[in-house]
Amino acid sequence: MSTVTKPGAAFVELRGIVKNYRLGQTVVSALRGVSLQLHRGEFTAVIGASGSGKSTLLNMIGCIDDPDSGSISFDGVEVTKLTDDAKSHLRNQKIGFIFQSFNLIPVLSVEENVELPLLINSSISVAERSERVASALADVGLSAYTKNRPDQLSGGQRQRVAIARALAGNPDLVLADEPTANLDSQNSAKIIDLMLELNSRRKVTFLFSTHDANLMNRVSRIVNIQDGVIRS
Amino acid sequence: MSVGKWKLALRNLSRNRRRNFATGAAIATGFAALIALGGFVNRTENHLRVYTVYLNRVGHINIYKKDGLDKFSTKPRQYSLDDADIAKIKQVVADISNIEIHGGQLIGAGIVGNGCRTVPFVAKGIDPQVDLQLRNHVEMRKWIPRLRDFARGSGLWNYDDQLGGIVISTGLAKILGKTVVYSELPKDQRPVVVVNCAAPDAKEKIAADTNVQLVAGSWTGMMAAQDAEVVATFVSAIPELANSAVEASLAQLQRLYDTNSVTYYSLWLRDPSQLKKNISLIKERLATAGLNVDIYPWMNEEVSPFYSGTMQFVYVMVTFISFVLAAVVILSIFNSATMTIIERSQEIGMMRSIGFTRSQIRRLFEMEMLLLATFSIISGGLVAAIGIFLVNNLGITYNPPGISGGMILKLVPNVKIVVQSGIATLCLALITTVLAVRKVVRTNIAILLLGSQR
Repeated sequence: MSTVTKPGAAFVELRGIVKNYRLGQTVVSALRGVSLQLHRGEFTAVIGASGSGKSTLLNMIGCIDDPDSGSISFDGVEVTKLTDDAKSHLRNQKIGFIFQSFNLIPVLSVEENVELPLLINSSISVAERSERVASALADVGLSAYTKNRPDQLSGGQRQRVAIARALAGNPDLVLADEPTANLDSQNSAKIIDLMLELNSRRKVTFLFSTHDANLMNRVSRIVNIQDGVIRS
Repeated sequence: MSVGKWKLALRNLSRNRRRNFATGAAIATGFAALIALGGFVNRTENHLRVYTVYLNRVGHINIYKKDGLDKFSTKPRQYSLDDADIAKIKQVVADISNIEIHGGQLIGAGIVGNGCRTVPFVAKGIDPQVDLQLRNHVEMRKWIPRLRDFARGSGLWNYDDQLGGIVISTGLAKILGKTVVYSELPKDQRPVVVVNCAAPDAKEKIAADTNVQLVAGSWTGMMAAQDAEVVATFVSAIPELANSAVEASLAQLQRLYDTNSVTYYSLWLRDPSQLKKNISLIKERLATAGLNVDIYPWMNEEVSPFYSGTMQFVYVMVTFISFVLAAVVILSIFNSATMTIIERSQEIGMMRSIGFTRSQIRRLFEMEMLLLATFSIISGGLVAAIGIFLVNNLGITYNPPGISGGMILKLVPNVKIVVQSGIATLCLALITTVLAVRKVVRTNIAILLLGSQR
């Protein structure tokens, strides 16, 4: 079992997480008893080779996959015991996702894409939705592109839209799965700068996976995962 | 700015226009076909119903002596309604406001001759005034305007009963060599006497005269004969009667069979939807009056075998075609929805990850299908309207089994058919979508995000 613990109350805590995938007759162990604590306001990178278990770890924390064993608490709530709808609610209210391939809806404009997670939050009024979208787009520097469709933007701009979408719900945690993998080095640096700035300004906890060595020295904490085990 | 779930659904429809067009076309075609089929059934049913109830004079309610329907033909005296029975029936139905027309009818058989040739006939006798009301009924005008007209001549109500007028089928008129009807004869026409049937002018003489002789065994066991004048001819829609049908006044037929009785007593209703209620009421009242009778609704298989048989055939045929249609529409929608889901699995994964629940994703697809189906149904309705207009104006004649003279193909859908077809199409589209989406909403989000769904 591998454990990385930092002092203070943990905001997200994973205890002995095991996840195996069955590929035909073969069982692949993606996570082998991983324990990890994340604290509010951290800016953490998960690094490791392809297939090391980075994405699986993020999926566990983001409640989009269930561990075979172990437990995950999120802000004091044991998420492995939640129903599917409750997990959806948790993701909508507390977690923002940024994907490697942006995952924007092509038929929606920039502002409509950003608005999407707010659409299913009935506690947010239409006026507040507009404010939050405008604020998120201003934070990522895309206020001038609100009416554009994703196919009218560059790769870097699209990832900014994805970041704005992740931030629009005012999440406690943003999970980014290789957010710079589809970007050139210049745009990658800009995206990291932007996430750092938002982490600092909005006090949002960021956890992102990468195997880009150039980015590792920009983050305050690095979690190194190898073969489903956290090494450091 | 707000995108709204409906707006999102609408935008998604614009993503793969060719596929959505194909799906929409399948739905529209299915809906239009259902309307056309419904229109065909509706028209056929109404045609046969009105033919049966009004032209063939099977009343909405028919009162027979107990077991009279089966046994009248062999023992007419025992299984007919006599004066006393008729009086009681009239008394019972007098204050039932839903009864529009009523009257007794007598069925009989015999032979009819033109002086040189005799052939069998089947005769039906009814009060000519009742016949007039039936022929002028609004339902006749609406559904079988062509059939309500005589081929030649006019109805018995135009003639004094003493004339002995009869109406015969065109086939029988041909067999008897009668080419004119009574009203077409010269005013000074004298009785035609054909002494020698082999004479060269015999055929001509017979054709120029309307007189025939009816011969039958009376109910008292005697042989009876009557002179009769052909006042009109009609096209019988039932092939079995095409060469043998005779219509006479009730009084004339009663004279021929030497009786005052009738085979059955028929009631025609203002509002046929009250049929069951009226039958119960009449049954109860007749029982109280001590009358031992059987009561049959018009659609009873024994009373209207032609209507029942034909409609059963039509329903079986239409049900089969509807199933084929439904299968085509279901497979088209299922194929389209499955392709769309495979294409959008990564997007569905993204939506699930940002908080959309399974039911919200399912609803989004249902909304997309609801919009597509609604557009398609409106389009299908327009296509159906144009198609039906064209078909109805082409005057296509077809020959359904059991109907001589053929029918003009007309499709007459009503609001109920359109609404039912629309709802059926919509439900079919939504259920198929639910089935197609069911699997993807249960798929692990992480797998969906990889862009595949197992």
